[in-house]
Parts: sequence; C-alpha cells; structure tokens
Amino acid sequence: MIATFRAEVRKLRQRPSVWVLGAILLVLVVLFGYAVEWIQYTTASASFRSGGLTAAQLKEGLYPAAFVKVMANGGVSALGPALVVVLGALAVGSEYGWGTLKTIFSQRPGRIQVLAGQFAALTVIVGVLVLAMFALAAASSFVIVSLDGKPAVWPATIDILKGLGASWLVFESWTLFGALLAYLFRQSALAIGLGLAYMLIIEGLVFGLLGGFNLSWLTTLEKFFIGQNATALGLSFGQAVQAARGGGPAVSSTPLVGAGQAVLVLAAYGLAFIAGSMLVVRRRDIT
Amino acid sequence: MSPTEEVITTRRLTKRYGKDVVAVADLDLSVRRGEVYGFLGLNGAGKTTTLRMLLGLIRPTSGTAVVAGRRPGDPAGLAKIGSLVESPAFYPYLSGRENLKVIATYAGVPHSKVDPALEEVELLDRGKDRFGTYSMGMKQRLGVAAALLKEPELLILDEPTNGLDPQGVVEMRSLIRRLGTGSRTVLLSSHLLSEMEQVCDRVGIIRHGRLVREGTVDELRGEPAVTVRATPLEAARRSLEGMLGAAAVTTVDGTLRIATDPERAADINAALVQAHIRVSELRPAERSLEDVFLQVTGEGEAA
Repeated sequence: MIATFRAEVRKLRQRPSVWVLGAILLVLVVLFGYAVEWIQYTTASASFRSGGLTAAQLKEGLYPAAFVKVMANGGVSALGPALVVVLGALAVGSEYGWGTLKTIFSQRPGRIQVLAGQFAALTVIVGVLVLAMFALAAASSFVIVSLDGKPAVWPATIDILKGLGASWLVFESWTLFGALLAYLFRQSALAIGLGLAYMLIIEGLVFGLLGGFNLSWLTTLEKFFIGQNATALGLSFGQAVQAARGGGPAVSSTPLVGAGQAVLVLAAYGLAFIAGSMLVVRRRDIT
Repeated sequence: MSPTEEVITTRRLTKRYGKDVVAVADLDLSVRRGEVYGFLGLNGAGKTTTLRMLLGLIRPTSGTAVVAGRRPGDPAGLAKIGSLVESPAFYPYLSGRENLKVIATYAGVPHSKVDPALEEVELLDRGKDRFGTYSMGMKQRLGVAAALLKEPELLILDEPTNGLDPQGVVEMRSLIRRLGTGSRTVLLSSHLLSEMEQVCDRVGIIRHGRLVREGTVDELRGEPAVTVRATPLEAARRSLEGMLGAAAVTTVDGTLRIATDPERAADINAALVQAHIRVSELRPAERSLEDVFLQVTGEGEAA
C-alpha cells in the first residue's frame, strides 16, 4: 500500500486542478472569511446593527480569539466542503476519463491496494488543505486585530486542535463522498454535479419541505444525515459571525445533534463511502 | 522450466454481456514460453476482451485462465506481465518520464529503469514533454516502454502498431521480434496480417469470440503447391493425376492446383508438353496468411 500511496501522492501533487482547487479555497478563506466582512464593518455607519450587534462587536468575531469558530463553521460557508467534493470526484473520475485505471490495475498492486493508496493520498491532501486554511485564517485574523490596534488573544491550543480535527473530518467525509460518486458513475462530471446538488440543495430542500409536517420520525432521521451532522459539528464551536448573518450552509443554524454524535456519524459516513468504493471497484469490470 | 511450458492457458473462457452478446466463447488458448503468439481477428472479434480477461481487468462469465502461473489479476502474476491494451492511457498533465515513474512506483520497480525503457522506444529526448502533447505514435511507444519497465516474462501487446507511421511500424516489428527472443513470451494481438506473418511463431485466429484456427504461419498456409493453367484443362488434369495421383490435383477457378513441391515444376511442365498440352502458366501457389484468414473467417475483406 505504501507504493500505491506514494504513486498517488506523486500524481496528485503535480495535478494542476488540485492546486487550483486549493488556491480557490484559500482565496475564499481570506476574501469571504475576513476581507469582505472587515471592509463592511469598518465602513459601516454608526447606526449599523446586525442581529442586535454593532459593527465593532461584529468585527470582534474576526479577531484571532474567534478564528477556530470561523473555520469550524466552514470558514467560507458551504464552499469549502463543495470544493472538496469536486476534489474527490476529480481524483477518481479522471482515472476513468483518461482510461488510466486499466494501466494502474495492470501493474503489481491489487485493486483494493490501489484504492487504499488513493484514499490515503486524498486524506493527506485534505489534511494539508485544512492546515493551510487554518494558518491563513489565523494570519488574516492577526492582520485585522493589528490594523485595529488591539492585542491578539489566541484560542487555547486544544481548541485549535479540536477545530482542525473537526474541519478535517467534515472535509474528509465530503471528499470521500465525491470519490464514491465517481466510482459509481465512472466519471467525474456526473459525480461533481450530483455531489454538489446533494450537498448544496437536495438534503436541505428535502428536510426543509418535509419539516413543515412536524413528523417526529423525520426529526430523528434528519439527525443521521451527513450535511446535518457536518453543520452540527461546526456549530458546536459556537456560531460564527458570518453564519449569524445568514451566510452559512442551507441547514438549521441550531445544531440538531451534539459534537460527539456528529463525529461518530461523520466517521461512519467516511467508512461507508470507503466500503462502498471498495465494493464497486472490486466487482466491476474495467472496460 | 520446460521450453514447452504454457505461460497462458485458458479453458472454455467465455465472456457474455447480457443474454445476447457473446464477446468470447469457450476459448481454449495455449501460449508457450518463449514464443511470439499472434492473436488475429477482425475488429470486434473478441481479441481485446480476451486480453482484458487475461489481465484480470474484466471477469469471465465462465471458464478458467492461468497467466504466468497465477489466476488473472493476481498481484504476483501481474508482477511478471507487461501489457499495452488498446490505446495507451497515461496522465496528460505529466511528462512521459514522470508517467513512467508513476507506473514504476505502482509496480515496485526502481526509477532507474525509466530512462532505459524510454531509450528502448526512442523517446528519451521527448521524455520531459507532457504526455498530452505526444503524437499517437509517441503515445504508443510510451505504452510499450511502460510495458517493458518490469522486464516482464510475458508481454501482452494489443495492436501495438496503431497510429505509427510506416517507419515506426517497421521499428516496432523489429522491437517485438527482439523482445520475443530468449525465454520472454509475447502475446501480440492485431488485425494486421502482415504484422503477424512477419513477427509471430504461432498464430491463433479468432472469429465471433471463438478460436477457429491455430498453428504456425507455415501450418496455416498449408502444404506447398503449384498452380497450372493449361489447354485443354481436362487433358492436363488427367495427365497430372496419372503422374502424381488423383488426390494431388484439384481444379480451382479454371486452373489446376497441384499439391507438390514447387521444385517439381519443371517435371510437370515437361510431362504436359510431352502430352501435347499447352501450358500458359506454371507457378508456385503461394497461399498467404491473408488467404487463410479470409477463408477461415469467411469475411469478404480483411480489415
């Protein structure tokens, strides 16, 4: 598996689309996580209020003390997870598009080993992306607090680590979701389309529409869906300023489940996506 | 190891798609160590499906196969096999050399073998260029280079001359002949008869998924013969039957086909002239692999 992991990392780190997606993610962190908000609050009139908070109070949500909260809530709203769905779908789907799966599967390692190496490499890439996002968010928050001439107060190390872990778990689950879709449909285009539609629209829409019926079983069911649990895990760090202003994911802003359950459900989804991919790749012919 | 040891053995290998489409049917194939075996058939005859089954890329519906001593797709078996199936498939954003390094990493082969493989197919000077910029012929050669990386016991090449210019075709044939020397076995699939005739030790002809003929090129061409065009034809036939036996003489399209060594042409001519029969044509009957192929496949034209 180490050989396949090294081969996958070698491919992914030289792939332009991986760098482009990473760059977009980091730009979004700076732009929509900090820059736009800071400009809006800095240029706001004295009478400006949002959610009962003044511009100065809202700006405090951009300071270093809150950067974990900002990032754990998606940092860039739902766009971060959306981009990693694309990453997962592209990493797998392109192998079908280029026909390179037959080249790989004709080499020494077995199919499951190849898949394990592929997912391990994606896990590392997602980890590096999350680290970079947190580092950039921390730097952005430090710049803002410095511009305001105030002292930087940082979150506790354990909270930063928890935030990193939570963000990585959310991103990893969505990446594996994109990869599974690509294995199922043997292409990246449909996997990206369906993955984004589900993530951004379908889950929120279904529960939004059915929510009007006040069905208790529906509320129970909702607690086991990936989008709801990803949002709940982020919200467990506290609601970020952006989410309070309506920029968050299209799901409830009140966490449906606790952080513990969210971690377990997301981990279960990740494992299920891996198992599903293994099943598909083991059984299917490579034509 | 015995020189006649079979590197590929299939028994009643079958692949069906749905109820109606039979891509490969009851295929019994034996490829011996050290030979260049030609797998000949029209497009869609089932060649590529068979090769994919041998590599474990697709599963047979029924039947068995043993390749390099293992079941198809077994990692230990794949380690001994180099392959190029259908069109060469690599990462377009990577250079030729980097593609081979990726493949070498998967195969557990040291990267030091990459440049010699590129040199073997004369791509060393283009190794730094992106695969996406390669011509079809260069892509094909990179595919062969990838197949050679493992220094395999068995090479499976599917239409390796596709997309090559005439010079490239000649070089590829020469390369395949060279690769087929010693104990290495080559299974070469093609629909190009001349390729098979010049390169292969044995040839199997596949039609509608079934192996319909197998043997050396000479065996497939059949016994040596002489074609005679003479007047009157009936008198010539009687004269030659008296000389060589009735079984040796057959009438084909207004000529006589005589099953005998072409070196006896002078004797045949002398006998016919002595019998006052006028001979207008007397030549060795060369039966090309194309004739055999057309006869066996029953197709109007060779692809």
